[in-house]
Amino acid sequence: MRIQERLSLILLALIFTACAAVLGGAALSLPFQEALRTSIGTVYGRLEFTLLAVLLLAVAVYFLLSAIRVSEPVQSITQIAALGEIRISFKAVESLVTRAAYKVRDIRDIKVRIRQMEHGLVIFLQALAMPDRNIPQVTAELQEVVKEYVENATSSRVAEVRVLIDNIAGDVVKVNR
Amino acid sequence: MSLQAGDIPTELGNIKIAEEVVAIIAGLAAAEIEGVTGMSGGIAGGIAEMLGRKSFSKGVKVEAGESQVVIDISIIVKYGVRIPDVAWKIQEKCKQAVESMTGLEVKKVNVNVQGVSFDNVKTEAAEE
Repeated sequence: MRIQERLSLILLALIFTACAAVLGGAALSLPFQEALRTSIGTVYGRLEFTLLAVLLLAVAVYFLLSAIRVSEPVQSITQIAALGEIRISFKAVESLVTRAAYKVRDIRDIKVRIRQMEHGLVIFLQALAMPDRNIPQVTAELQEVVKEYVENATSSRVAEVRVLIDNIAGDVVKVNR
Repeated sequence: MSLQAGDIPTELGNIKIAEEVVAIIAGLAAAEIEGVTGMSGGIAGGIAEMLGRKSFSKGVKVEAGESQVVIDISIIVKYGVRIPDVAWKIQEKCKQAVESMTGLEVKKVNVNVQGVSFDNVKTEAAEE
């Protein structure tokens, strides 16, 4: 369960508990009518409480949307074999790509995204390059290693390996200064 | 989910085999294949394992028809293997094991590769 779902459920439980306490208390004729009246009196005519109302409404809309929303299926490469389907999840392919990419020595902090296109898999790589290296050479090697490894391991066609070198690895740069 | 995977009518009565039994047979057969490091069983399987219950049917889902079954297996493979080869072996072995042990017909064995494990790779690298 994700953290926001957990928080929403806790909030929902608190609201329900408050409703239950008020309803139960009223039904059992506990003497808190005066307290209720004064509470409502405090809120009456004060515009800042509309903010709270809007917030609660937003929470309600969030609950409603998350209840209606259909969860996305796990993305995977699907191959049809004689005895049934073979599905390789994108998460598994991402792990493979990350591992294979680290075979290239001059690369750090690799992030991987995968997309399935008509003509094959497109792999997006984002990484840091080591300083004083020829980046086109390194990226070309990276593309080759990743393509070859993924095609070999999954028997799926890799159409493109797009690489973005978004910075130069920092720790060595600092030492040079 | 019905409890029975298949009914095998005989002269003396029906033989019913629970889905759990088919799942265990398939799970054990899949785990024996070289290149499979574990089954990916989701939250329920993970909790059962934490409680100390070794579940052989973890990661295996069985859908039962009349006398046919469809098996869904979720696995984690070892880094370095050719995934389709491992998957084919699983399909064959599971089909063979379930069919020979239960007499039910296995229509399909769907293999879901959910992750890659690097445990052995690390030790190899350390040895180098």
